[in-house]
Amino acid sequence: MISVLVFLPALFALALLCVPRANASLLKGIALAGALGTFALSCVLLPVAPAGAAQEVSDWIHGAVGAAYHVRVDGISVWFVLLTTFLTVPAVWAAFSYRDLARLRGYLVLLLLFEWTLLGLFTAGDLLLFYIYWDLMLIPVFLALVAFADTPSARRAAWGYLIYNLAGGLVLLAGVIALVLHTHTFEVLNGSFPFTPVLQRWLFAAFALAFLIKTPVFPFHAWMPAAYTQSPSSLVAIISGVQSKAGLYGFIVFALPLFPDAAQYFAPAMLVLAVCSILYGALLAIAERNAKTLVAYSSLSHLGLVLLALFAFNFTSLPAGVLMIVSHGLIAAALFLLVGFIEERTGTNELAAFGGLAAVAPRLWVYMLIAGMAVLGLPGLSGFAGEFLILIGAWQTQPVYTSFALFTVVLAAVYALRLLQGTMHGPLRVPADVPPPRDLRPRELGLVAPLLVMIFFLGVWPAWLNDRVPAQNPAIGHTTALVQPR
Amino acid sequence: MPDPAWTYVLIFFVVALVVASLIAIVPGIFTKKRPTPEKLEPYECGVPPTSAMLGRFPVRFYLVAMLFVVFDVEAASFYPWAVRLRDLGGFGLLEMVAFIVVLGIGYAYVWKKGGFSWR
Amino acid sequence: MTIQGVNFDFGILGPISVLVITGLVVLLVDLVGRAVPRVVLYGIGVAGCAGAFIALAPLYGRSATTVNGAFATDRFSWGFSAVLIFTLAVTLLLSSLRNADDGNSPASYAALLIFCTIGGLIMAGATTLIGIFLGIEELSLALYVLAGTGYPRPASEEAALKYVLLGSLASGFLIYGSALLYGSAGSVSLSALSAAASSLPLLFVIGFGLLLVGLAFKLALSPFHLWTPDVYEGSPIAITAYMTVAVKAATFAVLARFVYTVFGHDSVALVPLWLLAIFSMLVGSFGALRQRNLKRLLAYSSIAQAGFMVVALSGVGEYGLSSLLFYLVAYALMNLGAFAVIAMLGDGDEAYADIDAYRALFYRRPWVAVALTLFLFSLAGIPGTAGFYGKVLLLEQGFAGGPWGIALALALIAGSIVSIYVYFQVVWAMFVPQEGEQPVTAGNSWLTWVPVAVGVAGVVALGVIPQVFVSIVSSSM
Repeated sequence: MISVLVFLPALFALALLCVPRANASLLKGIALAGALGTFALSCVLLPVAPAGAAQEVSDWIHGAVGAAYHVRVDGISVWFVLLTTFLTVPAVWAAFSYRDLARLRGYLVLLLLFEWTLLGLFTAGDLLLFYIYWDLMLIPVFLALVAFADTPSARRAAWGYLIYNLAGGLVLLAGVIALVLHTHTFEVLNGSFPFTPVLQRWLFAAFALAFLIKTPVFPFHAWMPAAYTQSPSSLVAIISGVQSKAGLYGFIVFALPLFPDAAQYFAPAMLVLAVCSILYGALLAIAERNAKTLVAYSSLSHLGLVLLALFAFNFTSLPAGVLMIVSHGLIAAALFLLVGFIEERTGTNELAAFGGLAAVAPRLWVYMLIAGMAVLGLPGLSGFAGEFLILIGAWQTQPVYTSFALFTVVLAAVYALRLLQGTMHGPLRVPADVPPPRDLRPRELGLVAPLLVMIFFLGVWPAWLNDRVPAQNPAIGHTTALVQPR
Repeated sequence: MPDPAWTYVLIFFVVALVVASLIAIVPGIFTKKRPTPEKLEPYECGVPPTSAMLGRFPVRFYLVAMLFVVFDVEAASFYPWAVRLRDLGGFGLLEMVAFIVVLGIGYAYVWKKGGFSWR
Repeated sequence: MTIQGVNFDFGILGPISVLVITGLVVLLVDLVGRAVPRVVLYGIGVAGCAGAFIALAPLYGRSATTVNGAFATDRFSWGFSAVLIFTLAVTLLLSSLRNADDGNSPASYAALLIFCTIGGLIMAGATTLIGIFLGIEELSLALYVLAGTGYPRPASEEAALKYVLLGSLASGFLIYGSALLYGSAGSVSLSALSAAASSLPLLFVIGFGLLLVGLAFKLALSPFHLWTPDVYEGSPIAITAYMTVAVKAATFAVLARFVYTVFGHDSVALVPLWLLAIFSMLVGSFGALRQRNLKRLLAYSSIAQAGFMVVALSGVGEYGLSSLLFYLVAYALMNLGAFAVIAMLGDGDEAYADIDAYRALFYRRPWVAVALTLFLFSLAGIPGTAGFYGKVLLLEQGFAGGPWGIALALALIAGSIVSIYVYFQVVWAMFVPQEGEQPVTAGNSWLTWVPVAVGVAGVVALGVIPQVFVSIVSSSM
């Protein structure tokens, strides 16, 4: 059942390849059906949420180091799975406006394959399987940037994206192999293995490097602005909404439970990186002149906050980290899609080139307002709940770092308002060669609406998610147990 | 102390060295030198040299030389085989036949492809 | 049967015998027939490969020696022999394309290729220094000629000359090293050398050093790789494909057998080998970065890949041989596949040696581009391909192999990181859309689709379900 879920998008991608390229409506129908079907199937997994787990194991590789085909979903990974399937639907739907109909098929195939690799990653119960998807997910994005973004700068961005992440991946591979030589199996989840402290530190460093690059976290974010800005908005909605969480997921599920002592040892360094990301990302966002890059930097800032939550080792902040991950996924996807709609209308994302769209596009304004307020952390929207719980929790164990992180509240207000003001308010300005922008069409309204609904929902009832993140999950229970006595 | 069996090898080397040196040195001491232009020319089997030693000559020479080496080595390998033929018996005969057949096919191939014709 | 005190097992010698006969038949057919088309001659060669494989198949799992212990068959040599025979068949297929270079003498070309492979088979099974040298020379001498069959292309002549000069030098090192090794042990058999290896007398160390230099030349391990790019670029495509895989396979068979039989454990005498490997991985990867000619790029890549394969031997561990064999099979599939694509697109000639020719290939020949992408992914070690699981196995050997093993494994990681750009720049070129009409290439021979299809199937199968293969190659000597 889990395997079916994982491979369903890939099957639909194959089905797409069998449809003639010219038959656009059928292509769109199949792609959307694939995304919706995968989401519907993933909802069945929701009941495992608090404490249960669903898994399938079958024989795969024996030998010096054995590996099993082990897929599983537990109270933590289910949120990542649901986030993936939920965000893919609007992303695929938004991709319908891809400018060259002749190449729409290839782009949709890549989007669905991307979903497949992400689902595979979040359900992998075996380290080898995890690693396979960890690297594999780079390929659809690389190909999409090279073949479907259609600008020279996008093709350059593809290199930064690929080399950074694949290099991180290879370091992770070194760590994985060094690890399994001591465990003699790739099935490392549910076991506890005594590693010497020195070995733990090396392994943790290898894992952490890969995770920090993919998230990304300062100072490993050099690939991010170009890749986020140059990707089509339907793609970057998934990259920022889901793929950026893969590193954090790796910390929660693998690095922290496997190397608790090393996590302790490296915690100050990670907290420094987290605070740097929070502040540096926010400051860059304030100074940024491109709407899409601005959202990218805000993403850097918010994910730093999640890293803070993980390494504060606190019962409140850890589940709140998961809440924040989901909430940021929704907000970032919504914002990137909306910025993408603006780009389709004005042909640019440079804040200097346009403005005052509220006058001609009131619905767009409402949507941007909600998403912007969510970034800003307005109470009643999901962004607030995650941030607030993280800061409360982290304050108890790491007051110094948290006090720095508190600035994010102010800085986020600055850049969120700047984004809103620059794009929406004031007199209407558009580039000379562009017709006056139209308001959001029903398709565009419809595809972002679920994201905004969920942002509201998690804002008014965060406990629905927060209480379903298990406190006794081996991953979270283990790390916090180590910290509480202090 | 090395294996005494190797002493013979040592003796062989010494004798070879001494004899060769003698042959090279002794005539130089006892003979009169009357150089003529013919004597100072490079020795080419008695034929007067036709061109400079470092001049160009056809690449076919190499081909002939290579073919010559192949059959020369073949002939050389017959000697030990012939000496031991009685001990090697029928199998030895068969083996040499196989060897000659393989070589013969190569010989025929070279012939057919014009390897022996001077053009 | 035993004749004159020498025991013969014609079963073990079967594959070699079949290939000898095949080579002679090819020559005879050309001799008797009038203007025999080359497809027929190469077809006989491929049939001979099938025959050799049929002779090889019953040897699977057997472990025996013949010719008084001078030639062995075991799972290890079985795997290498199978790779060699497969490589020969693929090379013959690639050589039969319309524009392929075979010096207008298809019979001698095919016969030389077959005799080359016989040399490789001898190397795979040889257990004495003499057998090893015999095999290496047979392989090399034939290849020197084959490298020059692209005549009158000047690059091909240059390749042949460079190859013969440097190759002869390497052979000199080999034979001198072998002589010293013989002097140190008093026997040419590898098992007798192991006694000397345990105490490491000076004579043995020098001899092994010289032997290693000779083998490193043949493997193109850096710093003995200087001939590689020019020879690989100048030789006809099919011969380049053959050299990258077959020479590597056969020489690794010798090296691995030597390391496992003579040393059998990690030894300080092997440190030069580890250094060569580390150097090769870095030089090969960095050298490939700037190459715009695909044959040259794959030449540098093969230097790095040879370094990768040495990692399997690090620590001389229990699973080292099976890891080496797995990676070698993966390498054979992906590299031959890539060369088959190059040959297919140019219909045998050099039109597709330059990266610029691959721009927007995906939009002209999507299936070919996807196949080449898969091979390049495998070479880069992207998960889900044979190359990835091969690297996992190599890294397992490396990290388990003591300090030098860890250094090797880290060099492997570093080399892989550098080579990301090497392989992906070709992928990049193939997927970049391009304005304007692009010429659609004619090359589409089914003869090349066979190795491409086999390569794709093998690369995916070994990557997704490696267990099938791991159990076949898990070898014990």
